Amino acid sequence: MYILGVSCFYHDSSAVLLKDGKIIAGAEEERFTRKKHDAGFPINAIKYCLKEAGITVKELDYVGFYEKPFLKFERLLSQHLEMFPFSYWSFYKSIPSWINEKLRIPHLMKKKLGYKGDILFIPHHLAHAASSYLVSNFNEATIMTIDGVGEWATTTYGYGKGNEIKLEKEIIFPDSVGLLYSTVTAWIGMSVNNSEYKVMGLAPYGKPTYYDKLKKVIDIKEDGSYKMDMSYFDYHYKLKMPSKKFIEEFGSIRTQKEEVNQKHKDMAASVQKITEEIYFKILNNAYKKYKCKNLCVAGGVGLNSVANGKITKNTPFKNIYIQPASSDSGTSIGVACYIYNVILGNKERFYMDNAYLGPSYSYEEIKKFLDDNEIKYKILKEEEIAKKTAKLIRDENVIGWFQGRMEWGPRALGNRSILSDATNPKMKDILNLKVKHRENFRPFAPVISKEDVHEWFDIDQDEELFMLFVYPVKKDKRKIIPSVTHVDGSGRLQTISKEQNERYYSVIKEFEKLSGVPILINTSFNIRGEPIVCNPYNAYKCMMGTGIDYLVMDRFLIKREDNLKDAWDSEKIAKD
Amino acid sequence: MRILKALKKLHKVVTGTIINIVNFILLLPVYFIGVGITSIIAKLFKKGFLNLKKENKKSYWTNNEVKKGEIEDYYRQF
Repeated sequence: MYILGVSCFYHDSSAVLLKDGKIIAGAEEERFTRKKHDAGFPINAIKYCLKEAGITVKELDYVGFYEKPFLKFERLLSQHLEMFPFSYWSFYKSIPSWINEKLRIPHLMKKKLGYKGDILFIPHHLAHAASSYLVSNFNEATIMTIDGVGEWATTTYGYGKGNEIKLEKEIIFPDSVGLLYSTVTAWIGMSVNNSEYKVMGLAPYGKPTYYDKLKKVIDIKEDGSYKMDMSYFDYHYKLKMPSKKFIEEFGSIRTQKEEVNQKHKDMAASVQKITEEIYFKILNNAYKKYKCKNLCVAGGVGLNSVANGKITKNTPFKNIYIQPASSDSGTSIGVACYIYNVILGNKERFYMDNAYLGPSYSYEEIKKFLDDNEIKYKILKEEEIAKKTAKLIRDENVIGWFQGRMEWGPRALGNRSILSDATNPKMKDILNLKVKHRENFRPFAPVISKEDVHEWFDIDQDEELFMLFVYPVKKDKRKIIPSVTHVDGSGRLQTISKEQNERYYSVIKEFEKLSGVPILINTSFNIRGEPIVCNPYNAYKCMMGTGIDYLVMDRFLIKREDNLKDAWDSEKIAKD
Repeated sequence: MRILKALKKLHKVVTGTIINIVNFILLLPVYFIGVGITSIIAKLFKKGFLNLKKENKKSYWTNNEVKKGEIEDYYRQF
């Protein structure tokens, strides 16, 4: 049985294909179109999924969509009815896409995909909940979903048991902690639905001096519920954030020419504190009700890895599962699994313990690409790959690492990664300046061999699969791995075992032999402002446009200096 | 080739501009008459569409009314 889950038309379109309940392929559309957060119909992602399965549209048994469009349209109309006549510009900008696309999903599926069957529409937060719970290995769990907004709900909690999911309580639009975080992101002069994670990374540089002022803007109850004073916000009727009253209260919005200063850092720290307060109050309240130590989190705010890393210390929850694409792109998994397990009642569930769902490229395909483009390369023997890569890293080189199947979700997890030396104090600045062209306050994340994690991090789990949790680096280790230790002594780590990804694991172990440290910098393989690389061409282009020294694609080693005919400067186009 | 590309780009810009102007004009009556009249009548009857009022309740949680239904319920877009 083949089930296709689709998410699109808001941000981060994606598609996932299940075969008899097992995820066999999934990808975000942006990786194919090279348009970051592409919200368009994910035709390329769908085509990839079908190709991976070796089927056509005709073999699909069910197709599911990640929300109830008419309910969402009802909410949109409600906004305009409430805010008339001030919302005309937003009305004019948004209504055409609703008329042309969003209210015509079955027609679009038929036109763009050739799928003539019925579509199943899963409520948005239910799709989020399913995207985490149904691919976890829990038979029972408390579930929290928290995002900007779905149809009406912005925050929910409930439970999952066996194959059943019940979301019991919700907070509805316009009250939304996700949109509060986005408002602050916009106030700091960064792009909404894109840069919230940067605000999270900025927070440790500040103090929460705006916390009391922010409490005027949002009333938080002991059970975690909250209500916002909407006079400080514009998002319910305008296309920009924040409102004049917010600006009068907190100061003007940072322009692009203005440096990020202490005021912005303090505001980032304050909104992070507010978000964590809500997070833990909701979770503690949910635990009182369900008394289950397993927790599943989903929704865009579930990508707040700083808050995630503090859950076990601030709540009774002990076991936490968050699927790597916790935001809207992940709902395509939730849709497909909800159809298979809940609607159709199939008992066996698929446990997602890795994120390698995207396309891979064979040795022959890569070789053809390199030969067709007259790219100079060396071929390594299998046993040389890890040793050579580790040696290059130890020699202060930056490595583009392109292996196996592309990752699902926003994080690079060892198949489309840039790897470098975590022990080198200069490496963070080298990467920020020469390779990623990004703000210097942005930290880099470590990857560590699974068996060594407790020696280096204060972590109460045995592994961290998807880089969704930030943990403190042990105090005596911080000076050894300065390039992956954030200013507050933390790191957003990934653990890896040999069984999960042998080549990636081997590079870490070979590096350990050279340096005594089983940790590397792992950052996403992309130019700033572009999605993570998908195919060999993207990878090569990224290397040649940045300061990456070597590219290791399967067994091929490509040196940037040997191919300067293809060099170009990506800094000019790097932007968010 | 360059000329063709430039013409294509120009065509896109021109048609995009025309679409935007037509949308703006067509949506004006829809908004001011359709949305506007409904909104004014609703406000006369003190009916709100978003909960914007300041409140001070013990809890702001509301019940999630979504129940697991039959498969036919999921074929609906609402």
